[in-house]
Amino acid sequence: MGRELLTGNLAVAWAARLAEVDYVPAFPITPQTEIVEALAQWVARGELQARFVMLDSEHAMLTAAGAAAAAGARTFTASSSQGLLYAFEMLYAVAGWRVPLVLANVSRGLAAPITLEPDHNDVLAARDAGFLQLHAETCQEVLDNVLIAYRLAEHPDVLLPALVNLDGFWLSFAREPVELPAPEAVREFLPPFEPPHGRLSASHALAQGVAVLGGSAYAFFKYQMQRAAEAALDVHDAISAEFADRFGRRWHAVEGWGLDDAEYVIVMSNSFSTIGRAEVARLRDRGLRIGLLRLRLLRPFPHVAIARALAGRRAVAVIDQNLSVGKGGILFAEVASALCGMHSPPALLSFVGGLGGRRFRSEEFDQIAAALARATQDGGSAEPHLLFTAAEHRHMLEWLRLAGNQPPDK
Amino acid sequence: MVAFVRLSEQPVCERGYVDRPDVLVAMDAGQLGQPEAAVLAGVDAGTLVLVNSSEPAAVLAATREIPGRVVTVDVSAIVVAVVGRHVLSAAMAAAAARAMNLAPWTVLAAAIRRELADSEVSGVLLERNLAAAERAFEATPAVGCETTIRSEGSAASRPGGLFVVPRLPARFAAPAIVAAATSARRTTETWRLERPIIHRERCTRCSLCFALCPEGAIALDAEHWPVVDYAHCKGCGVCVHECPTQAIDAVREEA
Repeated sequence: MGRELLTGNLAVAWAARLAEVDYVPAFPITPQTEIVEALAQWVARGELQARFVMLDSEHAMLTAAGAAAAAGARTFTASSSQGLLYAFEMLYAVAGWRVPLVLANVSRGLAAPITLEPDHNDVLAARDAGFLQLHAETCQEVLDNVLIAYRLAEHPDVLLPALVNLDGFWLSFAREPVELPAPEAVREFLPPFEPPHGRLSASHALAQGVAVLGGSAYAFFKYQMQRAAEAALDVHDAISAEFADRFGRRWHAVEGWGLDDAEYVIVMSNSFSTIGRAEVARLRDRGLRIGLLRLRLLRPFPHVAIARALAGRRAVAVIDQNLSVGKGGILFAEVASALCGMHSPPALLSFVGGLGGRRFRSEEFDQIAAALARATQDGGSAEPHLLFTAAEHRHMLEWLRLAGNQPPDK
Repeated sequence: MVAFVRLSEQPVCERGYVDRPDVLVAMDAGQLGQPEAAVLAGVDAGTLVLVNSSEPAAVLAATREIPGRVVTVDVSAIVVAVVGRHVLSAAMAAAAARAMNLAPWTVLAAAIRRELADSEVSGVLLERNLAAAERAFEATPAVGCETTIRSEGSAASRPGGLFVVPRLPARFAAPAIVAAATSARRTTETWRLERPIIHRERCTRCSLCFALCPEGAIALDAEHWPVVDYAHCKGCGVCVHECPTQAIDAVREEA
């Protein structure tokens, strides 16, 4: 084992291999396919003792994954974007079955217009389904998150499926040094899955996912999922502490950088946080007291940790790499909710950037910093602001003209 | 297709695009002439520019107006001769490593072997790739590269001035193309590594190439002879492969 140069996709595949998964239902989609290709190759070579099955769709894939997890198999599957949406009905269903499995989502913007590059509308569309969500910044974190996700999902107080997110291209196809833990060490951290509930098998008749009518039973079971997800906050913390003891890397629900003296904070998630951190470092070199908060655990949502990290700041900018059309950034609203009831909360600003993998410009962080300083005086705003330049806009108008769409000049 | 590498003894705290490269590797010199590709963006006098080209470096630097330190190696000729196919990756990686003076051949050979094995390239194909890589390695001058950390992006502070995207009338705001035949305006001749040449003495005018060209870049003239539209042929080689009388040759494009 030791240090390897791995793509984010291969880091996911290695994590599933080290977790000694029993069953991998698969369906290819860019930019995820490398994950299931690697697993298929290892199963074919006998290097991974698992059953690998290509299904006819992501809907069937998720159904098979949930059924296998119900039968007590440690199950891994992966998708992205349109594929995740095609499986959507079953996301809610398998979460309601209270079966643990891990799904890696390789983020990619949603059609239309169709694209391949990342943003988080795919994974955030799944935020209400009952899947726990861990979002990774680096290839190493991708591997660690998958291992932590299995422990978390299989914990008897939790028993919910978990989704590990990584950005398409920016992580999926980026090779970074990744510490591969020894299989024995992973086996100790993540022993074979013993389902604490009844195991679906031929010798033990059992009905799962039964229908309920009349509201009470539905509300009861639904809210049990909420209670389990709430419990998962502390469980995640304990598992992460144990992970750090064993492997030397400590992951928190939210990761802060430069927060000790920060008057201003920029909130981001996933791989573009690396760019945000470099920009925040540049602004700090200029004497600005600014820090970065990266959201890592999105479900369960760590309200308290976020409130603690943002209390006492002058102003906070949330950069959403997603767009809830007609509302704005999804995470802005969630972060704002974490500040509910806080005495003199920071002024909040909402930015939308990185849609479809659109690059951040260095000067945009200068502009955000200036807006944060103004917000300290003028107060914040829930109005979303798209990071986009006048030059890009002129370019788009030129493209529209080439396409035969001549917008009126203003 | 574009990819970026950052190499450092220290943890790399950046990701994504490299705006100001220390080294630029152009696997296909034809792309240097594509304004949309902006291959030379960020290149300055210190940048090592390695190009797969049969032209001398000084000539290429002058004709393409490349500001950096240009090195040319005819990697295409090497792989076509040694591998028998236009597969550039291993040989180009070897040329790049040599130009940067990054590692001795033995280290590189082991890395290529492992990389290709991971992609299930084995046997004769693996050995030929290694042989081509070694030839490319030896054909490349070890000029070395600057390893200073260049400042990425713009360090200039332009606070304020956030651009607000205006709303367009909805009929202009969807990703629809209403103009006819816009693809005709986008020439793709520089995409070709090989040019299909039709030899009429062997051609039976069966029109299979016309039917099978995935780009619609082969037309039939009034006498049913196939005629290639070289402005839009991408050099995929389907016609060369499918012609029942082997009347179409693939001839390397010089760059």
